[in-house]
Formats: sequence, structure tokens, C-alpha cells
Amino acid sequence: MRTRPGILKPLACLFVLTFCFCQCGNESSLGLSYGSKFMRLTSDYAEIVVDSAKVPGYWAGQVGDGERFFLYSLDRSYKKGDVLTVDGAFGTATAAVFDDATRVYQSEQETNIFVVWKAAMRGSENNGQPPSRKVRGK
Amino acid sequence: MSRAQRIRFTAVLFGFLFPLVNCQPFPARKGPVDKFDINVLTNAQSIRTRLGGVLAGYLAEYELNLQKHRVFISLEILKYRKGERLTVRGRFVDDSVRISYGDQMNAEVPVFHILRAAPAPPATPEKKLGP
Repeated sequence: MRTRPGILKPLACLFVLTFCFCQCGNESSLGLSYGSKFMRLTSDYAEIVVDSAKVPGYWAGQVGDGERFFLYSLDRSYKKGDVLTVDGAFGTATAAVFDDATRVYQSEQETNIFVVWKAAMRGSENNGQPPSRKVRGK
Repeated sequence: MSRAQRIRFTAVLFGFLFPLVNCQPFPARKGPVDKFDINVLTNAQSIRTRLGGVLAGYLAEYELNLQKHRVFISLEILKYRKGERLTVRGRFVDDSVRISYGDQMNAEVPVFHILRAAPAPPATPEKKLGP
């Protein structure tokens, strides 16, 4: 059978490129990193919504540069002002968020999310307690 | 172009259209971004839409060209309360809900998907004349 490379080659290239660059809906665009961070909680227990799923945790700022993260944790025992060392994975996702302080709701907000595997409390800003070595896992 | 070539060309065309259709959702019929002040009329509720989905949100009212319009605002986090006044930015989507409120039974109201909502500054009170 005769082929017509003049048409088929570009079509084949287009086909491959389409497959390479197509972002399927089920695939997560979450690029994850792993590590330990030193965080100060800036909210009490809160929640955000990622892909229609409720994600509980705390808002926190990284000690030092102040970068804002949402710490995913099921542990409700911490409170605003606590300083934690957290181990886990972190990345960016689009989420719906609500700020309790300003009562501002925002959907499709790029949010830094830290999935807490292990957290150690280092003292509380509120009550001025000395640093604690108590370890609270998820 | 022979018949075999036509068939092969069509097959290739479908071959590369398929992942496009499969991966990209069909264009959602959404309107442009609008911004206005609303009054929240009800507490949070979940309600079935005309297209069959279930949305959570509030019935709200806004004023445009001296006329009051009702909309169902859909949000993913429901922390507002009945009676709050909000400045909202979002889009009307091609869907509606049937809802009863006040003297209107099962009125069809459009759905407004909220992108951003914030408390609106309080309306300036009207100046009273006289003592």
C-alpha cells in the first residue's frame, strides 16, 4: 500500500506531542518534596478543600522566611501560636480556602500544603511554656 | 485519494482527536466573571440542580439596575451565615436550582459559582432629616 509521508509524518508527530502534553484529569499536578520544617501555627484547627475533598489541619508560617503553608494533620490538639518541627511531604495544590480572621473565601487558590508525618512541639507563644520534647505523630 | 487512504486518514485523525476529547473536559458553559454585592438570605444548604448535580451554598440576593435578583451562590467552604452582606466575584454557570423562599414557591434561580467572597463594607446609612 502506498503511503503519503507528507501528510502522515506531521500527523504522527502531532499525535505523539498531543499525548506528551495532554494533562489528563485524573493525574495530580502535585510536585512533592520531603523534609523537615520549623513552623509557627497561625490558625486554630481549620480546613481547606482540594478537589472537592475536605483537608483538615492548620495554617502555619515557616519560622525564618515566613512562607505560608497549610499543615495537613488529623491531630486537633495544637493551637494558634504553637511552634512545631514537622516532618513530611510538601507541594503546591489548588484549593478553596477560607480565612477566619478576615472572613475571605477564595476558590482556586494556589496553596502550599505540608502533609505532616511527624510533629514535635517546641513551645507555645501564647503561654510562654518552655520548649517541650513531646512528640505527637499523625 | 483512494478509498483505503481516506479510511486510513480518518483513522489517524480520530486517533489524535481521541486523547484530546478524553483528556480535556468539554468546554463548560460559563459566563464572564462578574462582581457585585449580595445579601445572604438563607443558611447553608445542599440542593439538587436542574442538571442533576448537588451543590452546597446559599440563596442570595443582589441589586442591579434598581431590580432585585436572586441567585444560588455555590461555595466549597460554608462559613458564612444568613444575613451577611458580601462582595463576591464569580461566574454564572449554565445551571439552576428550584428553591422556595418567602412568598415564592419553587422559583428557579440561576447558579453563581463563587471565586472570591469577602465581607462587604456596610452600606452608608441614610441621613435623617430633622431632629
